[in-house]
Amino acid sequence: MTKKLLRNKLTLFGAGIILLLVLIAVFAPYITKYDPTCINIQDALLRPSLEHPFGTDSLGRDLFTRIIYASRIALLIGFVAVGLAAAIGVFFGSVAGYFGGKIDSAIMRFADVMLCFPAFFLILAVIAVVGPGIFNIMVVIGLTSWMGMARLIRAEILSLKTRDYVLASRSLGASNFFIITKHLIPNGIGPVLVSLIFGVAGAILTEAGLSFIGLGVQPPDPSWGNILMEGKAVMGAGWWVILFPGLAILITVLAFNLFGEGLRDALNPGKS
Amino acid sequence: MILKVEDLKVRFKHDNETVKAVDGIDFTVHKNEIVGLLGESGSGKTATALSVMNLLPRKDCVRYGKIIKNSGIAMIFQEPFTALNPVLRVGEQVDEAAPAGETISKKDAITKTLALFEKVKLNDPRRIYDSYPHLLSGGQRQRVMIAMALALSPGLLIADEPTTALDVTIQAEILDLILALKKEFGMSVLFITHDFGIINKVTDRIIVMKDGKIIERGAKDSVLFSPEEDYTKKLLDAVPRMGARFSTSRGESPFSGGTPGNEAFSRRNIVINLKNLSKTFTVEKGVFGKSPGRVQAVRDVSLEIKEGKTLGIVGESAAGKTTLAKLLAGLIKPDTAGNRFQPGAGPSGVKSVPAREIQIVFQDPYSSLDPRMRMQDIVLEGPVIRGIKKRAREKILRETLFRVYLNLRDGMKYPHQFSGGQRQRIALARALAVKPRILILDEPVSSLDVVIQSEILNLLKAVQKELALTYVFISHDLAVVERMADDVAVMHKGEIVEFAPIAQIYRSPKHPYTKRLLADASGLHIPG
Repeated sequence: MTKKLLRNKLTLFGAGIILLLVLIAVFAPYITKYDPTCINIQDALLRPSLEHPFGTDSLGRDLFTRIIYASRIALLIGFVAVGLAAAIGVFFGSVAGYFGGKIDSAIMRFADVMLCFPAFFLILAVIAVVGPGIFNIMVVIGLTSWMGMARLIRAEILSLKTRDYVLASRSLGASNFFIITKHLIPNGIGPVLVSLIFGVAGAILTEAGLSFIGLGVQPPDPSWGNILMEGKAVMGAGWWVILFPGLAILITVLAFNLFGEGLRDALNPGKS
Repeated sequence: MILKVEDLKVRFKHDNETVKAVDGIDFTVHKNEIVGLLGESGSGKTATALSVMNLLPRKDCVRYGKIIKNSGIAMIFQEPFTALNPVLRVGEQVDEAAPAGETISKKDAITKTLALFEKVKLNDPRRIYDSYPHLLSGGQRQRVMIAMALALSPGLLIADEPTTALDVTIQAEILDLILALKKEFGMSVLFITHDFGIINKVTDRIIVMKDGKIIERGAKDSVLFSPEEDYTKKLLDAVPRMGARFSTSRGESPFSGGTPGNEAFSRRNIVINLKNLSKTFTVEKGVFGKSPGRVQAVRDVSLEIKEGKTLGIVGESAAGKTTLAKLLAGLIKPDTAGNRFQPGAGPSGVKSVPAREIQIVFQDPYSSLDPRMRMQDIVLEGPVIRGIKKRAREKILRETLFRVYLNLRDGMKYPHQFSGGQRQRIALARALAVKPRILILDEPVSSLDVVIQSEILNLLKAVQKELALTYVFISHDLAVVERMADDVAVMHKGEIVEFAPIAQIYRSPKHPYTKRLLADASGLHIPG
């Protein structure tokens, strides 16, 4: 599988960009000499130059610095929110698939109800109640995006639980917990991993969207979404204030999608 | 001469490796003869057939050599269900089959299809015509496939294991049909199989293949009864033969099911005594289902299983054998709780056997091993579940692997890196690692090649002797059961129709169903 993953150039490209983004996020203070929140009105709206590669914003902050610091928040929210969604989804999905019957109906109908609400408006409604902030965003995105993963793992487990190795395990005296964690989840996790990678891209987009309308990461903390929002007001005076954060979102989401697609192909041999 | 194959070579490219599926073979098929192409799986039989049909995949596959065909060729496959389109009525599918370049009207096509259904002895052709594939039985589907092949008026019919997926009684019917059609239409048949019984019944000439090469060829009788090559001899020796133990001509058999006057002894050694065991499955019919459907898979089964002996359970598919196996292993619950293991009513009484001392080995070693676990973890799964300490586990691993002839060095490998026979030995090791008293073997060799089959059966016998195990051996293959069992229970539609010591079953079967089963099976075996 690894071999197949490495053969696809686009997948490698996606993985490379993700790796680069992670490195940038981790080493942000060593990459730039500026402070992302330090206001310097004299330098407002400077064009991109050697001193300020992406230019400065309307408050004179270095845009490059703000964008790389924002990648920390984007990745953090992406991974934590999706990790939470995956944990909830895998738990509910495997319980529903394994035990079946009424438990299954109850869990999956609940998931259907959750899916009925347009995710973004559900998130908006919750944020309006609990208030914006990084932690709240992570939790809310996590709580509203586990349903797809629950469905995926449930479907896998429905077919895996009748395999003979599961029966053999049960006749050896294995508990339900042992069977689910040792046999069913390891064998059924493939599609969830793929959905997890796509989910990270989705969560980053959602965060950018929330921050853009002011319900996400709050200024002065930088986020690609709120940089864009602030830039919108002055975009006539400086194109760079919206171009670079926009590109950052585009490239990041593209990278995760390319990698996710490659992973999916590697997990589904025979479909090319 | 209908078909001539000269120096045929087929290469498959797989992960930068080239596999020689067929490695330079020559043969001819003459008019009006049945040639048997015999070999274990992976010997290149099917690749040869697909080359002749021009059906090899285009990608990653190269064919060399010359194939001369002097007539139309049609093919029937092992699994007729996958060869039929599930969303089209079978009649329409047969309508579509016509020799190249021939066009007939829709009406004529229907008439022709119905006539063909008569020819292949399908009852009620009109109803069959309108049926979808899933409504037909395995035997009916194979008849439809044969009708479809006949629609092409072929001079040569290639039959690739056409009866492997069928029960023995149906198997016999399909083979008779192929023989009759060959006579009627003057067809030649290239019959691909790994089954010596079928080869013996239908073919005129035999070609034995191994690793893409032809090992031996000749008239049927000379190959079967005086083979020249060691490989052919080895194959033949591995074939389980019916009547080897209980041929009536040999007089008194060494097996007489317990010495007379030993009744009390044999009673005391009953480990499981089943009384009126039943299992009904309810089939749910949607959310608003009125009365759910019921299928009684096991009906009123009473059995005695003797310590240290092998109880054979035979029957066709859907007879309830596997359900009974799962009931015995405690994997499913019987209809009335509490009657699973009635202690035997022997003079000194028998303790009932706890479920943990009963283990089960399944038919298909490809689905019975977790593909993401290493071999040693699979074998040690039971000890881990039962909380045995690491040091003790290592000892168990060494002992168990030694017992089933597996190499400790392969412990880190995953299941797909082992062969079918090795996988079945891993499954056996997993069961043995928890030191069971009773082992339920559910068709343990029926997905294996005949040589491997024989190895596994010998291994099972040796293990039983060393560990004094009790076996419940489930099989549809009467020859295999004859080789293994002490007592035999014959199952039919969920019921045990006959239960007796093996010699009695094979020498003087009482129940008409047992008689029929034996008659159909003996037609398909080489006489011992």
